[in-house]
Amino acid sequence: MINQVEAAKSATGKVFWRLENAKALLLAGRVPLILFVSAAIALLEPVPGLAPKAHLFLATLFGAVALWMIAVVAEYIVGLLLLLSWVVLDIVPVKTALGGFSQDSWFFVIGALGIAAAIGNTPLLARAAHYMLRAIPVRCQRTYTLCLLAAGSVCGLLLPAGKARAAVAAPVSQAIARTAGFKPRSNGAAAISLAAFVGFSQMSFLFLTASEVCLIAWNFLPPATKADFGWLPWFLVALPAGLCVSATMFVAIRWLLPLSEDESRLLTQSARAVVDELGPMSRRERIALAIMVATVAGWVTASLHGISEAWIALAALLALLLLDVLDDSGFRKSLDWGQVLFYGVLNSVSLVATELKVDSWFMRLSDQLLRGFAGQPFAFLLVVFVLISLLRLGLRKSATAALFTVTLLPLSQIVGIHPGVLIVAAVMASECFLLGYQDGPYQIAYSAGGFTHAQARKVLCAKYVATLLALAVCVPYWRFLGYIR
Amino acid sequence: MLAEPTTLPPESEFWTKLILNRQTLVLLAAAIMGLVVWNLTPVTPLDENGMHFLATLLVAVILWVFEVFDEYIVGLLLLLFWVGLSIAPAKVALGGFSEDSWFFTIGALGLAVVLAKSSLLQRLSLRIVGWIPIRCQKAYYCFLLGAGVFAAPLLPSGKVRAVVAVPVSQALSDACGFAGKSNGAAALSLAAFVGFSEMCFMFLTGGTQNLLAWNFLPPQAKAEFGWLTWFVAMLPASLVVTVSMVLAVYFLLPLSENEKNMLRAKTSADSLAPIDPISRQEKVTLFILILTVAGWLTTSLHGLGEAWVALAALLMFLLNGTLTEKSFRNDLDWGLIVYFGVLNSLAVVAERLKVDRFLMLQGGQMLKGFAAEPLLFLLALFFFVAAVRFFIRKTPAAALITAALIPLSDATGIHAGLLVAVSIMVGECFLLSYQDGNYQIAFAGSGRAAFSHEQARKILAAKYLATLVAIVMSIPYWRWLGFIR
Repeated sequence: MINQVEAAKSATGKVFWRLENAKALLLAGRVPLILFVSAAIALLEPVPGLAPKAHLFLATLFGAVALWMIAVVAEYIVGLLLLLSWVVLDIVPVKTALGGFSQDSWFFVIGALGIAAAIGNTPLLARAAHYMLRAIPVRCQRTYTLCLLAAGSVCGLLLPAGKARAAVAAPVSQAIARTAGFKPRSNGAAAISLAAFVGFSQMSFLFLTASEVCLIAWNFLPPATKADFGWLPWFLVALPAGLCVSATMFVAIRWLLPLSEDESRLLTQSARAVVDELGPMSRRERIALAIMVATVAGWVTASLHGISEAWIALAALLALLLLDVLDDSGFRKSLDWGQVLFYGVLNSVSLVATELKVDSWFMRLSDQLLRGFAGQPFAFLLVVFVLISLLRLGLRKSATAALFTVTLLPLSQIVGIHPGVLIVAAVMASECFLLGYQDGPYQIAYSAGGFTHAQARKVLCAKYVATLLALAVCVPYWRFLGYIR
Repeated sequence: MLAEPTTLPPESEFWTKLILNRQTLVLLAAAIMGLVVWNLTPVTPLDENGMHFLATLLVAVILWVFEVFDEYIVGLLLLLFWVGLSIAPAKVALGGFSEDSWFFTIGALGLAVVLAKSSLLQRLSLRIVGWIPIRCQKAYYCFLLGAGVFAAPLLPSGKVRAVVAVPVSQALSDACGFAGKSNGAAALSLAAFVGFSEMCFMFLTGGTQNLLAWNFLPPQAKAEFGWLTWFVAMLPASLVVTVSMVLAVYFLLPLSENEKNMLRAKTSADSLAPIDPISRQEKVTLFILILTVAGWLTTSLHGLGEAWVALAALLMFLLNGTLTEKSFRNDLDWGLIVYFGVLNSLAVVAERLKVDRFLMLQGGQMLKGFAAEPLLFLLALFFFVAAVRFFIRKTPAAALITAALIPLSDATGIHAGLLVAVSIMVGECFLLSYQDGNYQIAFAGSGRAAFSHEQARKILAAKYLATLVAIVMSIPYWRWLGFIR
């Protein structure tokens, strides 16, 4: 009998092994196919109105986007390949190909990631969660849902990595659920866990620095637009949308995951939360907090003092390095340098596209198609939302953002929507998903055991509705700000 | 009366340490000196920004010399000051990051990591140890210096030669059993570094700066001072410098008793202990390395710069998994890579603010005074070039100095070709790490483990002396050849 079980296990293992291999082969097989198609496009006669070098550029960009989509290798490796192809094929001079690395927006990324690495090395976030547990009685479940949604959104400022924030939020929400006496995966536990998950990892669109997706999309903007649409304008554009999504999600969680009779009784009995003390705030934490506050103040007041966000971020990073909040090893090893290079290449994409006049060609091409949307910004945003939601079934967040930004930017003039607003809307849409495989932070939150997929799906469906509602609400506001003609 | 330091609580101790330590005093002195230069009246062709640039550079040099902070932190501060104080626009200040030499650094350091992880260098070093007994350290110094000098015509890029040489010397040092940064390890690495990357002056094709400067010569001078003539003229000087450097390495970095005992104990038989047969992965690595070197050797044929050959090699290693993403992120010295970008920018900003022209104008006036006596003129040239190199990098310095020297050739009675060769020979001397890109690659390529800046400075100071002696000793020879009237 045991032998039969072992044999069955072994057979199952072999099947899985074969499936894994088949998947790997399929993925690996797609790479030559993509390279072949890119080469074929490159060899085709250039489209009328497009210079031969611009045609070559589009062929390389097609290959890069396709490789980003299948995600066989890391994004930055594809980015470096793209860079190499421009130089080898003599598409643009080296100076233009590397132009993205001499823009201050690239240094902004180094500064922002450095600040994130420093803050991530301190227990500031855990401390904030513990303060919340001490300050609010566990019986105030609604307050907790609201607090987790709001606190999570604000945490985007401190930790610009959705996965990292999900990793912080999962244990905190579990601690709250446990203290309230909720059973794992009960509606009570799921409501708290999902509020934390949505707040901490699915509201990145609120701040430019809240996730790599925002930075990737923003880095595609032309330099002049980037200068106009910095940290503060981004925040002002996204704020009502953030409030709308948060409020809708608060109502949705209460309505979709109602507490059972038992859970309501448990809540009335529970006393104030008792949590582990982290001890008094250390010097490093105080310095990190002060620098963070000063940095955000600097970003918010950029229009007053005229110093660009990049240099404020660099000054903050240097302050953190000089005051030992971030050490040399932390600087070298905690920053994702591959990603930093990737941002530089993305910066270069927009420069190369402008130099080769690809953007104006694309505008001419889509002019007829999109003329119908002129004066109907919501209809246009709705189409973008639906397309992104469909694409997200097969694409990761960052690849979707990259693809859509490249495609949308040249259209902004035709439809009369500022490219920055288009990016914020695209990031908002790309943060909606329904199935577990679509999102990395979801996997982290799910593994904490607070909710079932079925419970999550209800809330994630509601997020689609909340995002659509937010877009509809924001159109008049964006028009008022002058970002929509 | 001051309180007892021992009774100070940790918080006060921190601030006291911060205020009273050596770093703060150096910082204060640097700031005062910087302020003095900042307030000086600008001398034509410098404007106010030019003076301010010199002031920030002076502060940075002091901080680098006294190693107050890590080099890259000083570099980033410099960048912040240039932009924050409007000395240079952000685009110019970041210009160094869009130069292909910056990408060469990334590629080169990536290759160094791959080499360090494979056993290829260990195999090579064991082979060399089989030829030269391990106890004959002087023979190793001669071998490394000599091999380096003669590698120049094959690989006419000092940076590339530094990439190849330093890991080999480090592997030799490992075979000898020397600890990192011990005198034994430093002697081998610095002999390799000087030989492979700082002796380009022996051949016209030994370095890009040689060719660049030579191209400035009038057609007749070029015809008279071709490849063979250059070699014949510079041979004795090269011999003097090489022999002097062997002696300098031997005497300035003497082996400790422990190291001598270790060498005595290590027999050739021990060193040649068999190692595992070469693996498939290593064969692939070797193949890619051979391709890379072939790519570097044939740059003049395919026209692709060294940086892109290095980047292509790096991508091949990333794609085949020889270099993992984790290793790419953690094992490359990213602080130094950022620092290298700032140093590149230093040259860009100096050119933009006409600091180079200012130095040439001053130098030209000064050198005219010594035109009557060739010996005095060459000595003055030595000091002038050595001073200029504190502000300008090797290649632009070579071009600018040549342009300033050619008109003085008739008045001094020294052949213009010889003036170029001598100025390049002196231009290869430097003392501080920021002055030389090849040095950065050698230092970081060894994982900062082969030698310390202090050890290097002794050898680099000796190189100044060796060069001076070589010039003085070569004068009768040059007179005999007819290059000095």
